[in-house]
Order: sequence, then structure tokens, then C-alpha cells
Amino acid sequence: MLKESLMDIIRKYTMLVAFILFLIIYFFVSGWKAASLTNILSIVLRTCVVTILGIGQSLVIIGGGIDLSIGAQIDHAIGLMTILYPFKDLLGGFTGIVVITLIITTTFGFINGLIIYKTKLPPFIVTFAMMLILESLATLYSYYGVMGIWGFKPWLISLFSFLPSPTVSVPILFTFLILLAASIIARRTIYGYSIYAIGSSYKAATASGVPIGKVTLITYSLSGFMGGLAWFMYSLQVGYIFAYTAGTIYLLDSIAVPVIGGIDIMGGTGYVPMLFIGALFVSTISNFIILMKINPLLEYAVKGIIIIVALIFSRLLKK
Amino acid sequence: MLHQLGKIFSDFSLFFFLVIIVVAGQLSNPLFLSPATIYTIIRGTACLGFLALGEVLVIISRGIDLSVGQIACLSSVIVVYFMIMFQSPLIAIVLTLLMGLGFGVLSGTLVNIGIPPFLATLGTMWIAQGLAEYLGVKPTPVPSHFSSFNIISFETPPVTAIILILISVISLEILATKVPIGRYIYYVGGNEYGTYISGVDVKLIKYIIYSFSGFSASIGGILLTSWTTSGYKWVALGQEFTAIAASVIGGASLAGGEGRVFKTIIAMVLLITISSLYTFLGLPPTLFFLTEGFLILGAALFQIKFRRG
Amino acid sequence: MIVAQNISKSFFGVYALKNFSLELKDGQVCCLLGENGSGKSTFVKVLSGIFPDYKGEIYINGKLVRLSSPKVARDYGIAAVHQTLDLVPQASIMENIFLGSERKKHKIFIDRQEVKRITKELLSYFNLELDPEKPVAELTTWQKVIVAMAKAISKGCHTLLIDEATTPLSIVEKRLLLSLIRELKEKNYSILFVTHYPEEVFEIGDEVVVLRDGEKVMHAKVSETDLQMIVKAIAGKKADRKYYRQKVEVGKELLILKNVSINHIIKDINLEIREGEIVYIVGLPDSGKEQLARAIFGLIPIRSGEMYLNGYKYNPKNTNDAVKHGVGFVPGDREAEGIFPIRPILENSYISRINSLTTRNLYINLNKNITEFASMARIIKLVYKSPSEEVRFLSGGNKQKVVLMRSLLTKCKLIVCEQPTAGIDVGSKVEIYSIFNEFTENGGAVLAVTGEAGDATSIADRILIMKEGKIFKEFVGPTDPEQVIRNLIGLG
Repeated sequence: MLKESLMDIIRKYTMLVAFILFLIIYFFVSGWKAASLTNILSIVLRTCVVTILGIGQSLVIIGGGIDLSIGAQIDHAIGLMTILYPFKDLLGGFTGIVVITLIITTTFGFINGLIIYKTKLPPFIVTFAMMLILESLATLYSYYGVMGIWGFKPWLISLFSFLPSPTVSVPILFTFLILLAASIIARRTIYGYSIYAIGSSYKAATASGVPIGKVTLITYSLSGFMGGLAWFMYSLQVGYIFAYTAGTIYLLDSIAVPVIGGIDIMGGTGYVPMLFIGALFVSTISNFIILMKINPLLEYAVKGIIIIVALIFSRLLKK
Repeated sequence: MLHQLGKIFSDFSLFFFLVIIVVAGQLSNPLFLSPATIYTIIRGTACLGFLALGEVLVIISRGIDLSVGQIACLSSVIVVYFMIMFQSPLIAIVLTLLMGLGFGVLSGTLVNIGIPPFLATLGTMWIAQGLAEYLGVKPTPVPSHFSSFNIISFETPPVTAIILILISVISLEILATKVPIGRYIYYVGGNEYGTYISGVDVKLIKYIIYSFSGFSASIGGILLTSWTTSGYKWVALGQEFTAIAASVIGGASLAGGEGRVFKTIIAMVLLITISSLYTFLGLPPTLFFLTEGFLILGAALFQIKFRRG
Repeated sequence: MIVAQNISKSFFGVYALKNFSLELKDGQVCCLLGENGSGKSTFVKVLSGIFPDYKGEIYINGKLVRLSSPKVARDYGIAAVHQTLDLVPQASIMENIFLGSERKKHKIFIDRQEVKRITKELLSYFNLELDPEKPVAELTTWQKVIVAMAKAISKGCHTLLIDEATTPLSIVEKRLLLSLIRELKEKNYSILFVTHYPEEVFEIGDEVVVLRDGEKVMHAKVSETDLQMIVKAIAGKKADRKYYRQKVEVGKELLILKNVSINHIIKDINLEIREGEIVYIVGLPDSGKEQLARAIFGLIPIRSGEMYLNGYKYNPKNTNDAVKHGVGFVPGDREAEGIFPIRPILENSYISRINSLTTRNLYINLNKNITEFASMARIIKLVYKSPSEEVRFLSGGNKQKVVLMRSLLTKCKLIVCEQPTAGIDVGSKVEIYSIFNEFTENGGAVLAVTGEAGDATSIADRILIMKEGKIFKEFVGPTDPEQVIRNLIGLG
């Protein structure tokens, strides 16, 4: 049986250990409150959404790039929805919304990839500018659009909601399927091997005949796609679609997940399934903050510190 | 040849565009160029200019600082917070500046360990943002007995604002052009390895740059508070974009080694004027950010096409 | 006066310098020669503080010192002009010259007047009438070299290390540089002059040292030696020279270049390579050989002319195109461009193959190719622990084999290499030659570009000499490396 590379192994287990330690502290400090069903379910809910976000961002990071526009993609799609609301019946109701959202976010992801590949500008500045553009567009749309509630078909809601029912496991299953698909794509496809190659050494990838343009476009499009998927998951669980601006926390989480989940920010390495631990960690932290009645507004600071600590740790590991 | 053209174009285009915007403004609404508007532009340039001053130096060194906006926001919140706590604007200002400096040192440390600047300052930004959100739950007005603190808002014409920004620009320009440490910022951006070989302590230079950026951002935050007369956690929301836009439009290359402080401030004037024009035309403020996004992309692309020699 | 004793420096386990000792005396020029990869630049970098982890001792004027950083070396009065010149392009001439040692007014401000004045003096000393405020990016190569020299001198050093500054220069410029160095010699500088051209030794040298594979093979007073001996030393002992090429049937034309131009220097190249041939293009740095190789692989575009592969027009838009057409590439800079350091050997080997497939399977599990990998690894004698080992842990020679394996596994017909045996131990070199032999026996062809004459003469069927963008001489069959070197340096 082939082992994973040494780096991956170290990463895997350190994070696991850190997470277990955290869990111990968490349960010890928060006591019985943490163990309630509703609480656990809310963590799981968050984990599912954040895992999907993290997958998109991780693929980009493995390839040596970064997508700062992930949160903005989601807000933008939602904003566009407010304009489309009057035509909702024409658009095929629920299915139509989902398809349109996914198309929009994937398209803008594609645009990101196109600009990055063609202009060779650093990914952070391109996605940074794109973030600005998309967020502003989103707000603009909401001026002219109609805020509304797009109802979902009841059977779909119950499928995805977290009421204690036989179908409780569906969202989790869905997330696992996506995670599985992503892992397979990352590890067992030409595209997957290529993205790790590009992240490991852009020059060597070029010298090996890797089609950098195609891979870049696919990666950033996937990132956009995952953004749409994550939003879809969340909206379903809530039961309806509404417009809100949570773009920035999505971005934070999408970066926290790979960083904490052991994916090297410099690219070229990373064990995709480990993302789930990262997502769990991130969601538990959010939950911890709420339980401990720590001001939720501190969430950014707490996560920011954790990300920095994880980054420093991974840097030191390298040396 | 293309390189020379690019240089000339960018040198003059700033003024050119500024004139266009002003003329367009005047045509759309004769009241545009009133003293009130001009004073607003000056105040805006002074406040946000400090964010851009730090940012442009970082960009010249081939780095980036995404945290300036949030450091300014946090500064706004805590300067009022400390003012109330210690009943002294002076102490509040000093502490706030120290905090900004501290964040800058953090960013510099992370960069020197080897974390990419955008990520390092993204992390710093989130910490600052979290603290700002937490400490600044609701906007807190500057206590009335310290109303002299609000000089930026009530002084007409805004002499203090002009003096502050002018002094800063002049001293930074002198530093950047006539003092070795200032020149080293350019050299590090232009050829970090060559600079290192020549015996310059590159790590120290980076510490200085990022520390100054944090420090300067908090000055900007304090001035914004003086203008809006209250501590507000969203006072500089998204203004890191404006700082970067001003730097890039002002000719700073993202690849490092190029850029001028005074051109950045002129670009800032341009940006604030555009913003004022939008307000005058009744356009939503988000349109301004939208424009900024395109300007950043456009300026970056322009650099690549015409200035990479 | 500098005495370097038993200096050794290794990279990834391969010695670039082995127990090298040298003395630099005041007022004397010591010329250091050797082929690419012989260790010349490494020595210069050790002396200028860039490689602080060297083994051995260095004495400056009798005192034992540790050159632990460029600043330390500078403080000890050692200044260097490296091949890369290390100038800041956006900065002006005077800024570059005074980088790190600016003259100050009132201890804070740069004394621009003073700096400008001294710069003007320095430039005119070098016979250059230039505006000190001109950005270095706008200078010609010669001017940049002068600026780098001026920078080295301006800091009051007593030892000057010049690494291959003459290679990119024209004949006139070379003459000028040499006379400048003569003048500096008279000013009592001790100078280490690294060059590819032995005749320069007789123009300015007092002593000549030749390096080969990191070791000193010749050390003589210039007055007691001649060109013949130097060339012989660079080429290596006759007894060590072996021709590893095995006779192979040559087939039809595989690659044809007709009037191919890449830039304003590399123009009208005509080239033919047949199945079963090993062709080497030998040239000095700046001859354009690397660009030619890269153009064939689709890394850089051709401006004009035509290429044919297997009879069909061949114009790769990118490297993926090239790989799909059956062309493989082994880059010169193994670490930066050749390997994926943190990826497993298995992935490193198969990355080109999976990207060259015309019928794409969605699901690919490289683990299924382990048997194929293992047998290929056996054939090329790869030394490794397991296919999942990270490539960065392999030795230089084995890394190179992995890079080669990448092309071999794509079943390509043409492998284009840059310096295929640079920085590799002798054993691996021989093994790579046998890989070439076997590859060509099966109908493939190898085109290599290199600066090492010895590499070419060990294995090539044909050797082409390239100079200033043109191929101007061809040797067929086993050739004496001395002859190749003579042609390289223009001795005919």
C-alpha cells in the first residue's frame, strides 16, 4: 500500500491532534450545552457549507493561487437573484434558481481564471479587484431588484433541513459526496495531478507540457461553482433564499479551512479529505464563540489569530 | 520606446483625468466646484491619504498591505474608547498609534518568516476587523468636551488637514528620494537579491515598511474620526481598495521598484473627486467601489502592457 | 592578499568544489578557467559571502576569517561582479553604484552632488560618457558590466572578483575590459578573473588556474605555460575521455528546421536531426542555444521559418502541444524547472504522459502504473526508496533520471535537453549516456544543448558549434574535446 508523502502525514496528524485537544477543551469548558442535539446539528450544518467552500478554495491554493472573490461571488449571485425575482416562474422556479446561480458563479470564476492566465497578473490582485467589483454589483442590484422569498418545494426542504427525521443525513451525505468527488478529482484525474504539479513548480509544469491555461480556467471555475453550491446548501437548510451580505465571513472561512486543514498555502501539496477536519474545526470555533457567549463579533479576530498561528506553524515545519 | 511613452502618459494622465472629471462635474452641476465640495475633497484626501502613504511604500517594495482599512476602522473605534477611558485625547491618540504600529510589526514579522504578504496582511486585517467589530458595537460620538478633537470636520477651510497631509507627503517624498532607507525600499522592490548582496538588511527594511503602514493607517483612522466626529467601526470599510487603487493609479508597480508618493496622493485626489462627483450626481456609493475595482484592474494591466520595458 | 585553503562546497550532496586552494596576491591577476559546472562561479560566490556554509579556511592578510554574508565579505574588502550583475534595473547608475554605501550629507541625506560627481569620475575612468541619473534598465550589456565594475571598485575594496563578465561582450568591449583590468592591477588590486577564453589569460594574467569537476587540475604561472596546455587542462585527461556512443542505425529525418529565426540574434537556423541520432549543440552562454532548444519545445515562439516533425509542419503553440507531438524536454535548471520537489517520484515521472494522451480517461490511478514505473526505473538504474518518495530527497543524478523518465514514459521520439549531465556524479553521467544509447536504438533522437565540450564529445554523433545565434561548424563522429573548445573560444 503506498504511503502519502511525508509532509502530508505530518500535517494530517498534527492537525488531528490539535483538533482533538481543542475538542477536549471545548467540551470541558462548555459542558452539557455542547452536547445537545440542536447544537451538534448546527455545527454539522455549518461544517457542510464551509467544507464545500473550502474545497473550491483549496483547489485554487493547491495550484499556487488564491481566490479572494469567493464570498463576493455568492453575494453577487444573490444580488442578481433579486433582479430576477419578478421572473421567477419563467425561470423554472426552484430548479431554475439553482441552475442560474451555479452558472453565474462558475462564469465569474472562469473570468477570474481567464484574466489570471492571460495577463499573468498575481491571483491575489485579480481576485481582489473582482471581489470589489462583484460586491459593488451585488449592492447595486439590490437597489433595483426586489427582495423576495423564493420558496422551495417542501419535499426538498425537508430533505435538507435538520429536523430529526430519517432524512437528517442527506445534507451530510451530500457534502461527503462532494468531498469524495473532489478528492477523487484531486488525486485520480489528469486535472488533479496537473494542479498539484503547477502548484509545486509552475516552471517545471510548463516544461513538462502541462496545459496551464486549461487547468487554471477549470480551477477558478470550480471555485466559483463551489461557492454557488455552498450557498445553495445553506439556503436550503434555512428553507428559503434571501439576500444578505455575509460575503466576507465566507471568504475567511474558505481560507481558514485549507490553512487549518493542512493545505500548504504555497501550493503543490495537501490532502483534500483532511479539509473536513479543518471545516469541523472552523465550525466548532464559531459554535464555541456562540456558546461561550463571547461576542460573535470577535469571530474574525479569533479566526484570524488561528489562521496566523497555523501559518506560522506550517512555516516552521518547513524549516 | 513603449516604456518611455508609458512613463510620459502616466505622468500626465493623472492631471488630465482630474481635469476631465472636474469639468464633467461642473457641466453636470454648476454647484460641483463649490468651496464645500473642494473642502470635502481635501478632507477626504487627507484622511484616506494616510492609508495610501503606507500602502504605496509597501507596494514599491513588492509587497501588499490589505489591513490598512481595518486598522483605520479599529483606530477610529479605540481612539474614542480611550478618550473616554482616560479622559485625554492625547493619551488616546498615542495609544491608538501604538496599536497601529503593533499591527504593522505583526504583518512585518509574518512577511519576514516567509508568509506571502497578501496572506499575512489578510490575517492581520481579520484580527483588526474582529477587534473593531467587537469594541465598536455602535458608533460612539467624540465626547463634547473634547470637541476640539473634531478639528477636521469643523475647520473651514480645512487648514489642519492640508498641513498634515502636505507635511507627510513632503517628508515621505524626501525620505523616498534622498534618504538611504527610503531608497532601499525601491531597491528591495526592484531587485531584492541584488540589494541583499550589496549588504542591505532586507528584513529590517520590510519591518520598517509594514510597521509604518500600520502606523500610517491608524493616523488615517484618527483623522477620519475627527472628521466624522465619532468612532465608527465601518468608517474605513473597504478603503484598503482605495489605498491600493491610489497607489496603482499613481504609478506604483505591483512588481515593485516603482512609484511616487506625491503621485499617489494626486491619484487619491482624483479618486475622491470621482467619489464626490458620484454623490453629486445622485449615484449610489457602491458605484464608486465598482469603478475602483475596474480602475485597479485597468491600471495593473496598463503597467504590464506599457511599462515593463 | 587572500589565501583560500581546502575550500569545499556541495549542493544536494554533489560537490561543486572539492578541496580547492588558491592564493590571490596584491597587484596580480589570477585567471580561473573551466567548463560550465566546473565550480568557478561557486568559488566566486564563496569568496563573496554568498555561500556561508563552505568548508575550508580563508585567510585575509594572514588572518583567518569566516565569510558569513555578503556584507562581511564586503567589509573585508572583497568586491565581486557576478555573472548576473545584480543591479536594480529601475534605479539609476549612480544609485546602483552606491547601493549600500551611500555618501551622506549631515549623516542623513544622500549627498547627491557628491555621488553624482564620483559616478561621473568613475564612468569616465571607464571611458563611458553616460548620465549618472539614467536608469540601468536602459543600458546596454557592456554599460551594465561597467556599472557593476564601478560599483565593486567604489567601495574601497582591495580584492576584485570578476565572474565571466567578458562572455556577453563584443571583441572591442572585451579588449577595453581587459585593459581596464590591467590598469586596476597596476593600482595593486588583487584580481580573480573568471573566463571561458584562455587567450585572455595571456593578455592580463599572472597566474592561471583550471578547474574541472570542482577540483584544481592546473595551476601555473602564465609565463610558464601556453594556450595548448590550458585547453588540454580544460578538456581533461585523455585517459579519462571515453566515447560512450554505441553504433545505431540512423533512420529518416525526424526534426527539420528551415531558416528558423527566434530573435534579432538567432536567425536563419537550419538543422536536421534523424531518427537514431544524438546531436549536441555546443556554445558559450549567450550563444542562443538554450533559446533554440526552447523554441523547439514550444516554450518560446519562433519569429519566422519552418519546423517539420516526422514530415509534418510543426509549430507548437505551447509546451502541451509539443508533448502531444512527441517531443520531450529536460531543462537546464533541474531544481527550478525540472522537478516537482515535493511531489512523489511516481507523479514526477508520469506528469507529461498523462497530459499527452489523446484519448483521455477521466479516472487515472498512477498507482496502477507502478510495475511499469519499476521496470523503467530498473532500466535507467534509478536509485530510490519508493515511488511515493518525494523527489527532492533524491541525489542530483537520480533527479535528472526522473526528469528524463518523464519524457521516456511519453513514448516521445525526440528529447530536447539542456546540459543533460551538468552537476551530476560520474556514475550517473554514464548511466544517462546508456539511456541515450538505448533510446536512439529504438528510433528516438536526442538533441542536447550544452556549454560543456566534454559532455558532447562523450556521446554525440554530431557536434554543432553555435556562436552568436549561428551554427557555424559541425563535427561528425568521435571528436577531441580540445578541438571543440578551440572552436568555442574562436581559436579555430
